[in-house]
Amino acid sequence: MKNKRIIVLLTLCCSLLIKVAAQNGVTRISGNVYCAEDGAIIGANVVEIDANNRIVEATVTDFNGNFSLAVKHVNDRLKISYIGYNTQIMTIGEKRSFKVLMKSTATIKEVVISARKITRTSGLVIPEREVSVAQQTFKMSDVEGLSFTSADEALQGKISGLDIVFNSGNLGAGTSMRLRGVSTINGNAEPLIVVDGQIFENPDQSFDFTNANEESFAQLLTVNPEDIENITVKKDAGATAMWGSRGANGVIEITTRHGVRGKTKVEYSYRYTGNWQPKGYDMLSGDDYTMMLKEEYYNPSQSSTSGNIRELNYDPTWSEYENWNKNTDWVKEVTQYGQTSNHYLTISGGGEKANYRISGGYDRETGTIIQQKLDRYSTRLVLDYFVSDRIKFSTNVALTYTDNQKNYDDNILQRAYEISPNMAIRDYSTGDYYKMLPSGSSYGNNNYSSSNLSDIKSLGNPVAIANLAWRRDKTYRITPQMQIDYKLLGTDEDKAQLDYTGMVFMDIFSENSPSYYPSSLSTDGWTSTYANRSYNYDSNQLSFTTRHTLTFTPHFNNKDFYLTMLLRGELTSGNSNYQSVTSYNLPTGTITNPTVNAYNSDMSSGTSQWRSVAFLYSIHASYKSKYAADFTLRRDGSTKFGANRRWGNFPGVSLRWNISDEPFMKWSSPWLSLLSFRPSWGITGNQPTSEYLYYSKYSSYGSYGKGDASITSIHPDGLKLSDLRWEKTNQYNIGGNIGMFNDMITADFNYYYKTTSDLLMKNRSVPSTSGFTSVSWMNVGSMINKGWELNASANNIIKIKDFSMSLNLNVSQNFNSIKEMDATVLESINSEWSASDLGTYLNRIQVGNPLGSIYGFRYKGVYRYDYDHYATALSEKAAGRNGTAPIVYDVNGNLVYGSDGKPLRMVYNYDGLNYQFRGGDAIYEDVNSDGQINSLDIVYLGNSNPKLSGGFGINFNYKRWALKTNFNFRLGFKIINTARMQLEKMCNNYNQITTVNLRWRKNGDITEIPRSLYGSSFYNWLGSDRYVEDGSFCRFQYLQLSYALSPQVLKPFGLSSLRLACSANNLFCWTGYTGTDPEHSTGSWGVCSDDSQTPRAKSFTLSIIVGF
Amino acid sequence: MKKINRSIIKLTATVLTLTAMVSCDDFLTITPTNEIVLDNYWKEKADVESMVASCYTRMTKSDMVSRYVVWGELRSDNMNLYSGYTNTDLGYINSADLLANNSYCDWSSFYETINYCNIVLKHAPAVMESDPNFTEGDLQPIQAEMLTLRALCHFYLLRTFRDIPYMTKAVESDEEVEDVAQVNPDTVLSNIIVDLNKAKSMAMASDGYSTDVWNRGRITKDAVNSLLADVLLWRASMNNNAIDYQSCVDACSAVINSKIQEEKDKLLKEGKTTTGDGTSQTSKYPLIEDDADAATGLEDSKAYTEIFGEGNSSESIFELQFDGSSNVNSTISDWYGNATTKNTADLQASALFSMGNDQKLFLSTADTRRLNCIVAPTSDVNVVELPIRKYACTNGYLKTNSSGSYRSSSTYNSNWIFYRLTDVMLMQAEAYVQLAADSASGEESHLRNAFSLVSAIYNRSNPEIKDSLVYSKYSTKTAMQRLVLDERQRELCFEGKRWFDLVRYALRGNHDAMLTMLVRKYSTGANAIKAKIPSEDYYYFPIYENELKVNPNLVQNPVYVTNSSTAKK
Repeated sequence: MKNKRIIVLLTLCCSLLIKVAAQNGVTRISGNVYCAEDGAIIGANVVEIDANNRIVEATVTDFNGNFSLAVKHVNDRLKISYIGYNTQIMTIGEKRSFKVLMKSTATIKEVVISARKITRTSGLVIPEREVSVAQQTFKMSDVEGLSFTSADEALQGKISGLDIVFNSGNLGAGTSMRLRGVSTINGNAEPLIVVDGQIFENPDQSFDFTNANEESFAQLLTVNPEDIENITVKKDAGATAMWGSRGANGVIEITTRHGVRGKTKVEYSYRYTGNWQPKGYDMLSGDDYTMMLKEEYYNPSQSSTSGNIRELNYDPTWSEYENWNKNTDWVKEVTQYGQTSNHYLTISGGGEKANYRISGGYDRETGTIIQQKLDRYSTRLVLDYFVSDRIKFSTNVALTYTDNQKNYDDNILQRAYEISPNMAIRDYSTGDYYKMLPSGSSYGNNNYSSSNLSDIKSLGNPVAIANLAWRRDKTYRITPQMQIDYKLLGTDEDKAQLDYTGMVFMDIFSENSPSYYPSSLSTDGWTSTYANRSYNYDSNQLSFTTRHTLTFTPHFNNKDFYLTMLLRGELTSGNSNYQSVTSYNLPTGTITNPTVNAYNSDMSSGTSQWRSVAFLYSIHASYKSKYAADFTLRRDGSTKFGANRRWGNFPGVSLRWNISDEPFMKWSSPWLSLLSFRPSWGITGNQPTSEYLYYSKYSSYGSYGKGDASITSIHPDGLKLSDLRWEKTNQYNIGGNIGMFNDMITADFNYYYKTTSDLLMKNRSVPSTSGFTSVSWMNVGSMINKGWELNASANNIIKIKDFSMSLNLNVSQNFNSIKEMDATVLESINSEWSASDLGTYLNRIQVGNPLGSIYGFRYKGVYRYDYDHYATALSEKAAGRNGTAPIVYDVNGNLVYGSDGKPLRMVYNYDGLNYQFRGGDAIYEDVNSDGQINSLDIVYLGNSNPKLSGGFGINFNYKRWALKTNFNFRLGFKIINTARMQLEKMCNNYNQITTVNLRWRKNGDITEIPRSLYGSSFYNWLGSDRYVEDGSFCRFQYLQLSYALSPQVLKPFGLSSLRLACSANNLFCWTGYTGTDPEHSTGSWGVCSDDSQTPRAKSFTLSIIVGF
Repeated sequence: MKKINRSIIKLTATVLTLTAMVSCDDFLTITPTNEIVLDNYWKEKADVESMVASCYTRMTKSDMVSRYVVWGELRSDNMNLYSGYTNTDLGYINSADLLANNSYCDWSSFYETINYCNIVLKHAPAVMESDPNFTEGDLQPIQAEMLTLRALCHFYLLRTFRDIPYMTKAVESDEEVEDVAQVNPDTVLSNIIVDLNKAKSMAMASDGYSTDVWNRGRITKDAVNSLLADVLLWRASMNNNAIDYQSCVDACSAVINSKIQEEKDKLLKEGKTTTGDGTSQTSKYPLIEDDADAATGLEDSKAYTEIFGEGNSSESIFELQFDGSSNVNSTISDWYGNATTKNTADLQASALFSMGNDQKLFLSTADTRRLNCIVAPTSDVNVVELPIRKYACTNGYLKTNSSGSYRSSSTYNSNWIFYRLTDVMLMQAEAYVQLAADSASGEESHLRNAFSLVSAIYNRSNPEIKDSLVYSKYSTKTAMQRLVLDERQRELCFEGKRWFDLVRYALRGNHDAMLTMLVRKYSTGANAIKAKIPSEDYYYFPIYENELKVNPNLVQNPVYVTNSSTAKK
């Protein structure tokens, strides 16, 4: 029975097939291809194509231009093509013999192609004049020939509202980016990075963004800037709503280059960059340093015995004398001239069926600090294969390998600043790097270092550390992406279109960072845990995304209407694991792998997993390109939240009205090419960085008992967060575009107001009666960011014959304030003032005030006279001269007398530390005139958020010459100059800057630098405005001169293009800041401090780009 | 048309795929790979056992052990900080400067233990359903353990802070975190007493476990009764309540009788005959004899070696187990001394323990407890710093003034004793004294009872001069009260009891007398210390500043409410 049925089925199929074959048959046709000028064309392609332009059969013409082809279907068409000639398409029908006359392309008449400028991002395809959201696009070709390690560097100062700050001048240190201010307390504040429509996850997920002292992994390092076509920065919620729960910090969408149809093009570029560090602080020489230290030891005790330290004594009878009589310029020793070479080769091209682009890059950089090296190999293969008019396959596979050879720690420069300048780099007798002897008694005997200098000893010899200890960071990132596009209905605008896009994307990331600290740097002997210490960290991450998109564009007979919509479903799953191992006392200095037999001190490993589901609906409608409206709704589900909070909806609405297109604006049309108004609104989210928060977890907790009687303990590990929600940002944006004189001058302006509610806060303290002291994440309070952005450019504003000039400018301003926060949260995060904490600033979060405010004392100089000399001080003061002494004045400026008839003496922290100020001590303003300096004298000293930031550039073109300039600026923000504080405090053995030569030494000295005092019970370097500086700067980022040779000149050499450029980067930095560089990223709670990170290098670049 | 059909099929397929994803909420449910989640826990007996073990493990952590010492001992006249040891927080406490930002005001570790107990109490009953091996008989002792540990933690907090939040609900999720207000001590005490009475009936018999590690290291019936006696004694002292004193006597009797029975059983098992009250001992209480072994001529203190050196002695009732590997008693190691620090450990016995002091604590140099709780000075001089020996050394002596062998810091395995027999006996004595009429003297039976308890303990440690304590010298209520207090100090010094003993004493209307005793440890500034503790309210610690910040319902203890000079405007 069953068999019978199958047979019937088979017969049916066969008969069908026969029917098809009979209908189509095989028809043989023949013909000749020729052209009027040259006669027969040899090797022309003759192809049978079906209705979808799919190739069915193909052949080529012979020596006589003849061809013969077995055609499958007479309803198909014949396509004849040859390079240099126009392609001919003809129907077959009843015709069996063809005479094809080919026309040379050179004979084509001039045609006018009119097309609307469109923007193509990962959402809908929308004409540029209808874009209703706030976004700005940056073309990478604008900065061709300049040296950038990663794309974010190129964006600095180019995008209004995007504040980019270099983390440091170390290689691969990356940048920190803030779009439209900071809208989170301690969640991730970095914008979301999207590469070719895919979220580019930061593999360093556990990185603590609020306390970022170390440098995070610069994830954009894994995208070669040369592969980038353009970067679109999406700013308002109307635009970022399509990224839903991840879009609150703005989105940076990177589009990589694809191949273009045409002849195969080979392009090679080479850039050479030379880097050097800007001038830093002037440090004391060995001679000045020892003198200062002697005084520093003498002052507190008024006795010279405490300063009797061998290392400072220049005693030729001491065996180590030769190692302690130098004037070493340590900064010079650890810095160098760094060089960067970038090689980049691309092969691109394409035909009817396929486009391709293959690129390979190799970069080698050496840093401005010795022993820093960065190698990067990157390759990207982009292939588009057009199966037919309807079907297209694309792949985009990139592989990047970076090998960053760092210094053992990031602060070699800081060590060089602080180390004793009278110390030798190399031991005079052995020639090895000098290391201090083991610590001994305070005065030092022959075989020991003085215990007083233990801080110098623990600093170590910076040159030796840089040369002998090392840390590497090796990463691989492979991002294969496969995509299929299928046009289900119409193939062009004349019909309704329904397109399906399916995509699979993988992100494979692997990181290995070993480090090694040899025993030759450690004086504490073999048993020290720092002798031959090796550490290795490995991590792997894999994420997998599938995405299905349906785009529907109905066809209206009335061309004034345009509607397009998109429905998308997306699934992501990923997992990661890491392991690290530390071991010390490795047997030899040459084996650096921690897996050999040695003391294992630490081993850890972990795994993590995440998944998310998202649905997106997006629609764009317009009428006459005059009115446009967009609506986006994203529904996100993530494993980061519990069942009841798992799903979130993120809507975005935006409108655009091109006022200039209205009939009533006709009068202005001669000069006003565009005037538009764009309001938008939307909600976006931000997620916590941890997984499994919604579980009550139980983990191992040792054991209880003794001997055989012992039970393993398992305990609850943290609170279950059943109520954790997305951090939600509700953003309004009002913007407009203006274009004048046929878009010669264009500008766009945005005003935004965003409220972030349910702020995510990490480790929020809770009453410990609950059994827990903190909740790992909690939603607390809300924050407001508002501001405006202006972006303007004038293309060819001056054009005289071959000379032209263009200008561009962007400015933005952001105001941040805490709108609401529970009092208990504020109480628990705001630290209390502690009188004995030196050099610290209170940083408080207050409702109504912005993040990043700095509070401290007001510094008023140095007491000229000691208390005992107050009579002299008073007479000086009466004479109108500086008569400062540590005596108390009341609110009205009158002296306050004690019961003994003498003026009251100014004290620090009365009833606590009770330190009596003396001559030469720092004067802190006694704000409340109570005769003592304490927390009541702490005042607001400023804020670390810039008032105004942006950039501008002027470009000139003359014939084939181009001159490009760019500047960026950040104005009106405060930096805590911790570097200078450390180098001016004179309370330990660290070297100091030459300004301390002006220190107060005796009664009557007028100076701004207090006396030197060894020890921690002196209060000359309390957190005061002495170290809070205005960080405003304007940086001349680059000046580039380039010349493109004309093709006529190049043709004989077989070259299609040759472009030469030279540039000077980081030429000047106009600033009042006294430190090396005023560019510093903000740390915890938005406060910015200069911890003498490696400053950005000054550099020049030479580049050559050759095309074949 | 065909084309459109095909498209529609494809479209439908796509939509179906999408819908399949919508319904797939399971996709978004992932569980951690290196931890167990609540839903998979509490399934079998072992889960309950492991969580119960966690409660004890929690109590062995140094943040708790250090507080048993600081709260119960450091404030008392027993100890001082070593002169070479600077610790601001401990220094402030030692000089009676209690500030709300002192880290030892942090009570979080105790509430963490309380929460562990509450979690067990919440989830354990349901395990019976999923694991047939876990029966009511297994559950009840565990419930008793949890109720008792919870009571013990609350009792510590109450004695240290007076008004405290009383927690009986398990907190497992952020939604369950509440700003709990304090309740008065009477409420807490009566709740604790209810719990302990409940626990008494369910608790494991004192020798119910197969090994002494558990019989002493976990809560048994004796431990419940001992804690109950302690709690009742405290409430009685606060309210001067005779009923509570009587209940305390009864609870102590239950423990003492149980210990006697235990000793009897043990002797019977060993085939030894029992004499007198049923023990082979000269005393009627089953105390470890400290007589020199005539046969061997050894001069080791058996009592010290067994109780403190080895731990889990027959006298012990409840002590935290430290095995010296997974649980190292680092606090006691650092504070009392170890093989490395020896004489220079962070905490030192006060001058009270030196014989040169006018106010001799020990009545005789031959008192073995003096030889074993401190490194006794060789001559009879007033020494300010005396190294503590108790817990730190593994062996005890009867005559030698020698430190003996210290434990090594890395394998420090001395248990921490919460209750042992002599403590219970002296609690009973204390209650007896209070039951005596105020004017009592001579042959008052309560005083006699108290004296016999004290002298049993005294005699054990003074084998050379047995019965040198004479009743007639202590025949008034006041004198007997003082004798019991002093004997507690001699017997239980450095065991985290002394400060609470002093507070109980002071609460009975002896504020000034207590201060006079307290200031004996200070070589200077005695009057200043007295001035810093003007009233009862100052016996208690301030509520931790950080705690007040996050919990608006907490009220600072009245005497610590200050208008800080650095208040923000």
